[in-house]
Amino acid sequence: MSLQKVLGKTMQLDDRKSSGEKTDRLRRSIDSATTIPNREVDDLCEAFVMRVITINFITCAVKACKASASSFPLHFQDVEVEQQEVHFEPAFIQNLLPRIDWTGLRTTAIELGFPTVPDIKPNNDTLDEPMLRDLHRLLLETQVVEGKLVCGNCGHEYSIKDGIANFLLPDHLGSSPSLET
Amino acid sequence: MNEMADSKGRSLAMGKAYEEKHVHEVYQQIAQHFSTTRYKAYIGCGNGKYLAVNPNIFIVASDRSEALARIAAKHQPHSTIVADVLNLPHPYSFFDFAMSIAVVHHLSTRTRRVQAISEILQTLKVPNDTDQGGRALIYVWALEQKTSRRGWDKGDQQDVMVPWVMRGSSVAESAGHETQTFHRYYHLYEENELERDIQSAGGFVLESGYEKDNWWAIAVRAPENDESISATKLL
Repeated sequence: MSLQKVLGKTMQLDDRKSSGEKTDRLRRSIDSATTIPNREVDDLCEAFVMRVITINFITCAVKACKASASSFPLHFQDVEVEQQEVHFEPAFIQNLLPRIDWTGLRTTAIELGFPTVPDIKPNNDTLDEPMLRDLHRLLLETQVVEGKLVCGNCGHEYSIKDGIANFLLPDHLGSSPSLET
Repeated sequence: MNEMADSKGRSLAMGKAYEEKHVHEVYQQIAQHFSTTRYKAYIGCGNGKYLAVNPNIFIVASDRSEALARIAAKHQPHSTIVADVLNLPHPYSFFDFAMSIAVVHHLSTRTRRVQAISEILQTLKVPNDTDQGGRALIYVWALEQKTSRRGWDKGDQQDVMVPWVMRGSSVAESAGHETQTFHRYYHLYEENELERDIQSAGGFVLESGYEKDNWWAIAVRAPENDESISATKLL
């Protein structure tokens, strides 16, 4: 079985809401998002970004912290934030929404000074275009270029440099078995 | 022969330090060259090429090598971070899908390989009566690759150093056109070994096979102490 087939087979998503047309549009939006406009780029140092959405899928790498509610979400500190225009694709945001931890997103939004996140996660009935645009702006267009992510449980700080967050742990925090058993 | 890894000797040595020297440092050095060749050759972990398969998803890609992560970030729009497979910064029981291509075979003891698989599996949603849970796809290099140019086969040494030959001009830092050879550590998986490691890591293999010098498996988390969910239900 080819890897493509395995992936096709395994990565089945909820496609009920997505017509082929929507899928095409999503693909275009993803393609267009790879090229971030208005930024000087060179061969290697191109537009690395830490989108706000990312932080909703991340917690502290220290194992003891994962069981603690205070480790999620990690907290932004001393951040340099940029807004980069990304092609607006409502269906992408809509499909993302069920995966979002809303309480976590609200915490993050407040830390970044982003005021327009509603108290309660919108559902398909309450989701209108202005709200989708707000979410698009927060989740995809708001990008952290420099700064720190801090665990609310252990206090460990992870650095973000040039848009890449580094979650490698120092030896004393990581779990790293060395001996064969 | 000094270059060959000795599994007995290393079993007493520090696996982490060993991998630092023989995997991580090498990938930092060859990242640029590695990525340009690999990108076209087949789907690589985290470089985003597979997004075309199904664009209707959001992916967090990670790599232990910052140099590789930076190249991955350039190629795909989702998210790329630097992380260690033994200490992944993701919540437990969270993802619908996880994919690890050509990663686990770089861990230098069985304990570390099993822990890496366990760490991947733990990011997956737990199967229950209504939900089959998250699935992981894991690819590792096979010992049985008689027809490849390397020619290893059943019965050969499984812990090997594999040369990566790079022309000087491919690395910005290296002047001239000298050829540089780097060696990366690999544990070559023999038939059924990946399945065994997945079981030891608390996983249940749904499907597995061999493709082009690699063993692969799709696994879910085995339900823990819950007899109401039988393994057959997962299928």
